[in-house]
Amino acid sequence: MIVSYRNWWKEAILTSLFWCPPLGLVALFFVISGEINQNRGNDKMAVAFSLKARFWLRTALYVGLLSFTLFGCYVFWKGGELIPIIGTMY
Amino acid sequence: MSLPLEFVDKRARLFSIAILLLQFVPYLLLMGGSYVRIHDTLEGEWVWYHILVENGIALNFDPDYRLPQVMNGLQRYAFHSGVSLNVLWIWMFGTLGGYIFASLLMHILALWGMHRLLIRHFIKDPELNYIAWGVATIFAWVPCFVPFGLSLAGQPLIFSALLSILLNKQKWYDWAIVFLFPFWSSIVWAAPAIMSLSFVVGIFHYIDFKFVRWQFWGAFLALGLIYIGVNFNLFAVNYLTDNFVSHRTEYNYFYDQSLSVANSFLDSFVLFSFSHYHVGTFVSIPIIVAMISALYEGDRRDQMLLKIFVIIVAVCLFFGFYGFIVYAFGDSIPILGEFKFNRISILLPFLWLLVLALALGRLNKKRILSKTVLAFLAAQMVLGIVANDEFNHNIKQILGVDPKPNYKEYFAEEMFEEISKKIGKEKSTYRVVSLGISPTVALYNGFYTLDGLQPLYDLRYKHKFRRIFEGELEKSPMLKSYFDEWGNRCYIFSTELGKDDKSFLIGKKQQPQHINHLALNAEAFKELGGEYIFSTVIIDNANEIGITFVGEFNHPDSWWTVYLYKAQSPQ
Repeated sequence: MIVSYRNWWKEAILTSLFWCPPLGLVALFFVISGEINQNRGNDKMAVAFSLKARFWLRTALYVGLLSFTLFGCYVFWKGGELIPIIGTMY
Repeated sequence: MSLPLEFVDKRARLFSIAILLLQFVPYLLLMGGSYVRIHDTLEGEWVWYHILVENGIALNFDPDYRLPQVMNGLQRYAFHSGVSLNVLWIWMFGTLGGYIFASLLMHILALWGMHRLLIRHFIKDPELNYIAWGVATIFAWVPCFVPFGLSLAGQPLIFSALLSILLNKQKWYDWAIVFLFPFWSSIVWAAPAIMSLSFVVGIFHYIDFKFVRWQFWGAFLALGLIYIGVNFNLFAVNYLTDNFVSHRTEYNYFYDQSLSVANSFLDSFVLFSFSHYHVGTFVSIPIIVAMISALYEGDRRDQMLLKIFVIIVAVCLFFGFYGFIVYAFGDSIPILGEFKFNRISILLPFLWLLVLALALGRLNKKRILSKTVLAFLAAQMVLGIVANDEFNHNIKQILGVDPKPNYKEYFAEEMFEEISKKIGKEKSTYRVVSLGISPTVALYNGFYTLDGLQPLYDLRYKHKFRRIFEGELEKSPMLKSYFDEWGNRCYIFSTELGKDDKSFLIGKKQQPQHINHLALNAEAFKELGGEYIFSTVIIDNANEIGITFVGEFNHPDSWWTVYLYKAQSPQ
């Protein structure tokens, strides 16, 4: 299968800002590395970095979802001590 | 190699049913020791149904009948309609049994209705049936108020029926659902929401297809008329009875909020993120991520997904900015402030889960992201399970760490029997009020109360009751505003206890255990027929205000320690 280079800028920035900053930044590092290699004409390395960026973005999606779920469980278990808005019921 | 569709569907169905039933395992384990939601349920609505059944007046249609047990004779018509399936459940299974049965049935209908709606109208691809089951299971876990019946849990069912009628695919049972729905849903919570959304759907259909489906509008009209018929008592007591002035006429919509754009945006945002505890606490953030992921690549003009999302945003903004509408038109249209039409926010859990189903349906088709579908379903399901407050509290009950009382502890029937024996008179011959404990506890135990949580009662009674503790109201502008400008909680308030939910839940382990300066007008209390006070705090200045300590009551199965006081007889 031929894999073409793809730029993951927007996804990496959105993930870093709003979803899972640690892994989003790792993905961003690979996006930047891919861009540098692409600009230097090193297509093979650019594609390799692009695939790594994609891997870390997908991992960030899962890890973010897991972290958010665990945090949500903690908040609801502790109830009103953490979020007064929902405190009435917990 | 992919698994056969039937096999996947069967597994998904069994899994959904098993997860749904998990919700009810704590009730089986705990029975009377189960936690049942207190706010608006044990503190109000469910006990009102209990009172209707206990007094045998659920089907009393005499407009002049007054119930002596509540507020010195509250009009029967001011109570909920007795033509409600909730009455039937309590009559058949008792108050707790009826609650558990109603809850079980509601959640089963939520699961079935949501699955049916999705496969009939939104996710027609059989390969995506597992998404329909997953989303339906999440919906069946959204915590809903049992006294409101199918107001939330039944939304997919009623919309499935209405959509089928709109698209001319109806079966006889779709009409049956439309005709029966008002008998087990709230006119206050469900009717405005369901009618508004149905209206919008009908208009969209007309714009898209340029013709009017009269059967749909007939069903729409029938639904509205049946709601009015079932709740005729509320209209009668408000508009047809000469000698009743609702306490709501003195409502001030802004008693607990200031009108500002910033606050309105904040309210809208909070609603957008968590929904509202009255309509089912619900975390929407994973759904937003799923939606963005689904729309990110390919055709971004998924009309249905975007339309529903726009409706969600509109509902949230309407909720947040409703105060401005009341401010602008409330004087000329008082019902805007009294009825609170922004309760259409009860649609949010249902709408969000439609978005989730459509987003996951799209994600499933994407090569890279298709594997995230199960992750999104699992995350939302786990959050939904933990956010279900009754399940959450019941697990804490099993672990012995629940900060709230269970059903048995809350009503403490044996302890109140001891109190009744100590008083030694027929309950109908004296009146009581409660302090630090909800009056519904006394009501449930058969006492005749002057106080109560009521959505509708006579304004003149409110004014008479106010005299009992007006000294306390003068001490606190917040309490004064809370009682004078709202007043559904017609309770004896104390500035030392406050007005939040914990103020009526002062058990053996809560603070404070004493109040020092209760400003109570014992003469006004006696004028209303008041004789005894059930207090969960010691009133240090009892003798100064003309009440006498009679005794302290305790029981191992009771959440409360009740201090019984009696109004002193004239010297």
